Amino acid sequence: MQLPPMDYLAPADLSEALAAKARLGDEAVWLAGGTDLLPRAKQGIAAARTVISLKHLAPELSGVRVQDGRITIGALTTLKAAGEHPELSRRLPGLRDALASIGAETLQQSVGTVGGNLCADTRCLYLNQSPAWRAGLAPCFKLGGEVCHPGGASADRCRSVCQSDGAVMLMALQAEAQVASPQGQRTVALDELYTGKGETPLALQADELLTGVSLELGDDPLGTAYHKLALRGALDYPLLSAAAALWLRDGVVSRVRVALGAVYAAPLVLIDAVAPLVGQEPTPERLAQAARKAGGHAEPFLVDNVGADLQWRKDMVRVVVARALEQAVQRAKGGA
Amino acid sequence: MSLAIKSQGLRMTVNGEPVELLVQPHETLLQVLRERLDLTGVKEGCGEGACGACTVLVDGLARRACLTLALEADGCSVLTVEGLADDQGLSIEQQAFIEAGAVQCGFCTPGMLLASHHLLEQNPRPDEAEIRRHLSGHICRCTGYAKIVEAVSNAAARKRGEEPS
Amino acid sequence: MSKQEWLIGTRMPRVDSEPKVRGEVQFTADIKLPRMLHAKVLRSPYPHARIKSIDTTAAAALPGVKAIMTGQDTAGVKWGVFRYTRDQQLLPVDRVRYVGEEVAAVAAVSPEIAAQALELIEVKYEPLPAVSDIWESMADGAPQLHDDHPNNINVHVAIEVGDVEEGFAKAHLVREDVFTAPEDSYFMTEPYAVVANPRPDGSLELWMPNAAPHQKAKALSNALVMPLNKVIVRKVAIGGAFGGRSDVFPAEFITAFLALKTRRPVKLVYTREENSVATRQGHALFTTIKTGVDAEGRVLARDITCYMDGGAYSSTGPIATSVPFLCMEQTYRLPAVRYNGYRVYTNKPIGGMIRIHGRAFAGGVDLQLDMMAQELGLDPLQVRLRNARQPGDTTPTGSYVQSCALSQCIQQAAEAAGWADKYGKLPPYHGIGLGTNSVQTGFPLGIRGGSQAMIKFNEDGGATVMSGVVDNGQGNDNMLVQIAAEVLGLDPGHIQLISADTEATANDPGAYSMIATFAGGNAVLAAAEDARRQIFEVAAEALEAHVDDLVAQDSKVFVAGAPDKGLPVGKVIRMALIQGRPVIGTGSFTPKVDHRREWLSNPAGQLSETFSFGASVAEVRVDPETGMVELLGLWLAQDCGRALNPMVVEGQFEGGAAMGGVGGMLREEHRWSDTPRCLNPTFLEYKVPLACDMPPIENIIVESMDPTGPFGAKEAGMSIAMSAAQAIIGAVSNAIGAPVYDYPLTPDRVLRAIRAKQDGEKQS
Repeated sequence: MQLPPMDYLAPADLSEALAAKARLGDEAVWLAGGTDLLPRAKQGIAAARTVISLKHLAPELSGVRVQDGRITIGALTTLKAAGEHPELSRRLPGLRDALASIGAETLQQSVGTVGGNLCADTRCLYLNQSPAWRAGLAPCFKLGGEVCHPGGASADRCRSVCQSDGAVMLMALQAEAQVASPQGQRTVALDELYTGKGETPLALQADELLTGVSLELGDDPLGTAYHKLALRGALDYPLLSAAAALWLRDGVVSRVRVALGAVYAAPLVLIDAVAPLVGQEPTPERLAQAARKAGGHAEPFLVDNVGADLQWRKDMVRVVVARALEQAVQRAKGGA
Repeated sequence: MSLAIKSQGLRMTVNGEPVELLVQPHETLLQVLRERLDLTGVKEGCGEGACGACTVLVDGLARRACLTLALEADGCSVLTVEGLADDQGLSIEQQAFIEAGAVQCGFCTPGMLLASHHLLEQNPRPDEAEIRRHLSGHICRCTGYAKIVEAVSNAAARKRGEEPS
Repeated sequence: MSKQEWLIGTRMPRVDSEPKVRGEVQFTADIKLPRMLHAKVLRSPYPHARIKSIDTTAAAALPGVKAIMTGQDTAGVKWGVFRYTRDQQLLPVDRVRYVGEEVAAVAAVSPEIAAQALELIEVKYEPLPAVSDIWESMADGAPQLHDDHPNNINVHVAIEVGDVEEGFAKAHLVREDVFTAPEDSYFMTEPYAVVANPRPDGSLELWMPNAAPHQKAKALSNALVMPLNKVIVRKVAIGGAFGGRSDVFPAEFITAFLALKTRRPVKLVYTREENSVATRQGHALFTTIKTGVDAEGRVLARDITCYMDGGAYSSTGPIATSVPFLCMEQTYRLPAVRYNGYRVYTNKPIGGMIRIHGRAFAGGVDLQLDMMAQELGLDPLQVRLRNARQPGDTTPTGSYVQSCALSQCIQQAAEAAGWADKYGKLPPYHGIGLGTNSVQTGFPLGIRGGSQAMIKFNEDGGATVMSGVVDNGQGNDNMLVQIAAEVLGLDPGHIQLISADTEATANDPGAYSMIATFAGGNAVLAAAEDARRQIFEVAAEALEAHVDDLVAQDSKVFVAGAPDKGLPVGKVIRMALIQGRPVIGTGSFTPKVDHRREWLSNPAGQLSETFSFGASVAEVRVDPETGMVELLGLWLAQDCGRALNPMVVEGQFEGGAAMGGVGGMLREEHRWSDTPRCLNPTFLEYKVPLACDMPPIENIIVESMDPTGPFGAKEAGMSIAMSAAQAIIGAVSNAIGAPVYDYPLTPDRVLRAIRAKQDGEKQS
């Protein structure tokens, strides 16, 4: 499969990279490991007139730092380096599991990066296909057209979904992205970074680069869990996934967040479904109740555009949320 | 169009030999290795990074050559299946694949061998689950993987100077 | 064989494995020839449309474009496996019938320019109404895909043997169930590719992954109107076939045509997506099975109706529509049976034969037996044994079974799996199941003959074996060398193999539908025995011994028991040359079948010379909340006749179980948009299993020593690919306590079955 012609820059450091991007604007795209960008470029759905390689920035933008109750992960940290960081994997087993489920082990070590996973584009079985495959179908919303093929006649927007395992877990952890531009650094909550629009899923300016992600561990014991449904033990994007982060104080939930993957253009945070858990002991009944509500909330978002039966995915929201919550509770209590 | 874009210089070491050429930025490492350097042991099974047949080691790490711009390997050392054997003969992994019957059609074999080599460089004593996990970015349609896993396990033992169990 | 073999039966490493681990073997896409052009194909974006016009002017004007072809250039030359199924224009002239069908092709100096040229070809289509499933297609008033096929029925196979109604009337229990499965696919790791090279002598050389070089050459010779000896299919490494490389595709016709037109070599390499949609796919099946059994579970009568979605063209239609039935009439004894198989045209890619062709057929037969056993309070294992085919039987359609160890396979697999301790005793959502199958071995299909082989010798005692058998990856090259080396007493390293080259090697039926070892192996065996006889005749005179007392071993000929007084084979060869009786061995083998048998008009008589049999046991755990299946183990037993090389046979078992069972029964299916477009033509979305998905496997080789197979061999692996799938159906149904009728057993289907059972329990 051929890539379309493109120009290539490999700036020596961050400031050079940002200057280049500022100059080229939307004409240029960042290239980290390439596992998301290059297949899309081959499919003709990535506007990649110029790619700016980040390979020389790895020393600057890699590494996991744990300091003052905060974990910070450089954007170019490989998935394996992040997941196997002793402190991270001990304190955030849910994130470790999410990162370990991405692609395949050999990719996690070389080309899969945390930043790349966070910035991966949304996906849809009617979009991530060759130009020849799409020929004969009207261009969809994501490609500047006015239809959504899996969404049906009533669809008024792109229904492609976020299938980034790392993003879903980090969203549950209420992480913040660090973003750099020639004007300096800014911090943006993942809640803000993801627009929820399939057409333009990331709220980054043309001159910005995501340089890292960080999160507050909190004072209370934290349990994290990631539950992913896929038909194979590797290589697969989630058909559906749930991430849970749950803090306990004296056996009572002090804070909880749950996010879903492969449902919506952003990791879908379920606020109302889990809110009643706060201030309560996380009994199996209460967790099940939250999971049931989650299923109801998520259902309208789902369309048939990833490789599994739609009704099954709808039915499974309850199950993956329940499992992620149960495991998060166990872990918050000190279990594995 | 392509006319507006300039070729760029690419220097790398491929299987121990220095290579210097001009490439178009959109040329993948797969294309350069196969078409320019005639290293056709690098196989294209899907072109989208899923099957793993095009796996090569770049500075010791496994990469999909089909999803790697050639220019990304500038200044790097690249190992393809053609570089596994040396004057002394086949590598331990290659020998183990032959003896265990791990090769059927042979199309996935180059990628499998490089992934195996990569694993054993990092982990001299992988258990079966670790081997399976490491090879799970590589699709083999012929063998059901059993004999490949056995071969990697045998190769690991031999590299440690032990007899395969 | 009267004496003990020294090489047959050993775990000899395959002769082709060293060049493969070195990455030095050439697959088709690796071939590079001087002045070679690159071809690309323009494909239909519509499932059904009339081609009103094709304007190639702009494309032809693009610098670097050397030739363009459309259907108009080809006189609409058609392909079909049988004369009566010739329904596919190799490049359609005025009508396309599925998304992805070939419309035009370009040869240019680079693949990039060829691709650019495709974008400049202007095709005007008139879209026609399309049909995307068999029911729509068979309905009255549906758009018709081909003339003379009312209701889009491409093929109807009708078989009736014995008194079926009487069987049902006498039965203690009768059940009727429906089983379904969508299309599955080959996903051989090598995408399809063709290189064509016109030569100065007017011949045309071709390379492509194929399962039958002589069949490909014959079809191309007809399509190109060239003498068969001028169309030369060469040997090349092949990255898997699984039934998907035996037919003839437009790709080779297009590449050959462009090469002849430009008088330059042309290479066409398919993308993974093209390999999936524009070669072949498996058929979707809808099977109704009605079975009557006596109180002991013996089958008295069976009535099966199967509808297969064949896609846009016939391909192997009559064969594909028959084989699922034939496999199961071989497996179990059947006093009375009726079969109606319909292959139906739809506006989808073309259906072909695949390694587990008929998962919703064979799986249904076995699952229904399980259900009836349960209703009768019998152990399914006993029911299998009561119905199992036995040696000396004749199948309903008239094939004598000369060797069969099915009962041993069933017993040994069950014993290894611990059936007696597990069946009915496992905790909820934990189950065990058994599948059995049989495939034809030595099967001319009405389109191919036998195999011929030749062996010549060099003065140093080395030999060159020539055989038309092709190796798709399963180990046929090694099989041929191992047989020749065994007979000639030569080290395998002293044997050079020339195979699968239609210029150098004589006719061969091809390495598909389970014939390579049986026919090709027997031909080489005969050639080697012929050569050895000639060598012995020369040596006998020199050694003053009797021919019958000689043996060939370690590259020497000697009187049995006196190896120190032997003659080197090289010396015998030189003596023979000087004496004017040079040694050249020839042999051929054609399976003995009833040539009056025909797929549609006369499905009766000896179908295949022999048959292989297999039984698998699977143990699973099901997650009752998600429907996800965890495979805990597979026990695989096959009567392969004789394991010529147990290591290779095990590889066929393990690979068969992966494709048929772990992939084919748990994950693999094509999904479609409503247009219909194949939603998952790639490795990312079509779920071929990975190393981490495989369960522990125990291989059990059962040897029935077939009376006419080479050294007793039949075939290896096919009955495992199928029976493993059937075993998993049984195990999952056993685990959830309810039958699952729809395949593959993806979690949604399993969960639906669990819920149907729960709903049923609530109601009752």
